[in-house]
Amino acid sequence: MAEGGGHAGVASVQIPNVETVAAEELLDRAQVAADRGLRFVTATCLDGRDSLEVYYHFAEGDSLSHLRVIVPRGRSLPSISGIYMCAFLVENEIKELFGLAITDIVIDYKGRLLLTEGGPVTPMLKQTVTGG
Amino acid sequence: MATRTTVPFGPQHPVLPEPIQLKLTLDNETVVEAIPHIGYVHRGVEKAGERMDYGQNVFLVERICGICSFIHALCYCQGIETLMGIEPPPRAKYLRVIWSELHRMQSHHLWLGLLADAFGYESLFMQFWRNRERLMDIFERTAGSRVIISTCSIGGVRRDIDEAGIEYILNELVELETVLRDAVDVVLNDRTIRARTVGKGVLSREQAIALGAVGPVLRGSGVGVDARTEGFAAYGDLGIEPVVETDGDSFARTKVRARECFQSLDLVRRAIASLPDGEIAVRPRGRPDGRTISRVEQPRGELFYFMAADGSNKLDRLRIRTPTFANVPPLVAMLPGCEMADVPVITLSIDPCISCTER
Repeated sequence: MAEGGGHAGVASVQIPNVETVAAEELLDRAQVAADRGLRFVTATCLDGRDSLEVYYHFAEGDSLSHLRVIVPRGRSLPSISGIYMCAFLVENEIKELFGLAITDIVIDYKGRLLLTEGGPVTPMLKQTVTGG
Repeated sequence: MATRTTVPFGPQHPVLPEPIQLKLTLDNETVVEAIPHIGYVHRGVEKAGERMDYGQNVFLVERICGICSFIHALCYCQGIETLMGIEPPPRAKYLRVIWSELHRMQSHHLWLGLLADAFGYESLFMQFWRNRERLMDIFERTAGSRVIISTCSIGGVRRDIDEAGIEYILNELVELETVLRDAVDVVLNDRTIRARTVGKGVLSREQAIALGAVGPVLRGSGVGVDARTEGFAAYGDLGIEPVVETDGDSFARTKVRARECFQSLDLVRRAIASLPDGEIAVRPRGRPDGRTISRVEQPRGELFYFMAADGSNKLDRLRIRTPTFANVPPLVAMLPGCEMADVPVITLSIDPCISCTER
C-alpha cells in the first residue's frame, strides 16, 4: 500500500515544489515571492480536523510553487493581501467557509462575501460525529 | 468642491447577464474606488465535490459553467487521471483538443456579440451569435447536446467523432471563418468601438502579474502565459504560441480574443488532420490517494483544480479557482480614474463569468 493509504496498487501522488513554512514566516516568504515577480494564483484551505492546512500557490511563467502553512485550530493567520492585493477574495472565502481567522485583509467582508445572515456557519469544515 | 457619491453597479445591469455588484465611489463622473461584491448565486460546488464519487463529479463540474463546461470536465478528469496513474489514449487527447477549441470559439463568439450589443450594435451582435450557432450545431452533431456536451470522462472521452462528423465540422468551419473575418474586421476597425475601448481600463504588465490576472486579461497586458503551452491533452504535439497584445486596455483584450478565434480554428483543423486512430478511453482504476493540481486554459484564462484524495471513493477536497475569480482584482485596479460611462465596457472587457466565479 502506498504511503497515506493508497489502494489497488495506485501510488500516492504528491504535489511538487511545496515548502512548508511556519505561520510567522508567511509574510516574509510572500514578500520574497512578490519581489521575485511571482504571480499569485490562489490559496487552498484543507480541513485537517485538528488543524487547517493552507496552500498558497504562485506561478512563475508556467511553473508553480507553493507555500504550505499548518494552522492549529483556534490560531490565526496574517493576510498576505497587503503584499498580494489580489489575495483578498480567496482569503475572505477561506475565512467564511473554514472559519480561519485571517487578520488584516485589505478588503474584509467580515463574513459576508458569500454567506448571508442566517446561512450556514463554516460549511466547508468536515462534519464530525460527536456524542454517544 | 466635488461631491463623492457611491453608486451600486449591478447586480442587475444591462451589460451583466449574471449578478456581480461593484460599489463605485465617484468623484463627479470619475471612479475613485470600486469594491466588488459576489455571493448572490453561490452553489457550494466544492462541498458537493466531496460528497459525490469520482465519476459523478464529472457531471457536477460540467455544470459550473454552461459556456466552457467541457473544459471544466477536462481539468477535473486530467487531475483524477494523474491521481489514478492512468493515461488517456492518443485519439482521446486529440478529441479533447477539438472539443476544447470549439468551446473556446463559441465562448469568444458569445463575448464578441455581447461587446457589440453593449455598444448598441445589434446587427453585429446577431452576426456573431448566428455564427456561434454553427458551433452549437457541431456540438449537437458530435455530442448530442448543444450546451453541456458531457463527452469528457476519466480515462478519455465518451464519444468518438466519425468520418462524417469530421467532414461536417470542417465544412461548417469554412463558413464560420468567412463570417468571422468580416465581423472581426468591424470590431477591430470601427471608429466608435475603438473610441470606447482604446485606452480604457488600462492594466500594465506589472499590474497584471501583481494582481494575478489570467487569460486574455493577462495576455492583453503583454504577458505570454497560456496553460496550453504546458502541453496537456494533445497541445504538446500540436504546438501553440500564446496570443499576446501589449497595450493592456479593453481594445487589447478584445484583439486577443478575436485572434484566439482564428488560433482555435487552426488548432481544430490541425488536430483533425493529425487525429490518430485507436481507442478513445481507458478504464479508471483504483481508489487514488494523494494530491494533485490540474490546470487548463479556459476561454477566460487559467482554470485551476486542486484535488486531495484519501484512498476512498470520494475526494477529500476539491478546490476550484476559476479565471473570473482571478480577474476580479485586476478589474478593481482598472476602474479607478475611468469615467462612470466606461464602467460597463471595462467590466465586460474581462469577460466576466459569474457562473464560474460562484462555484
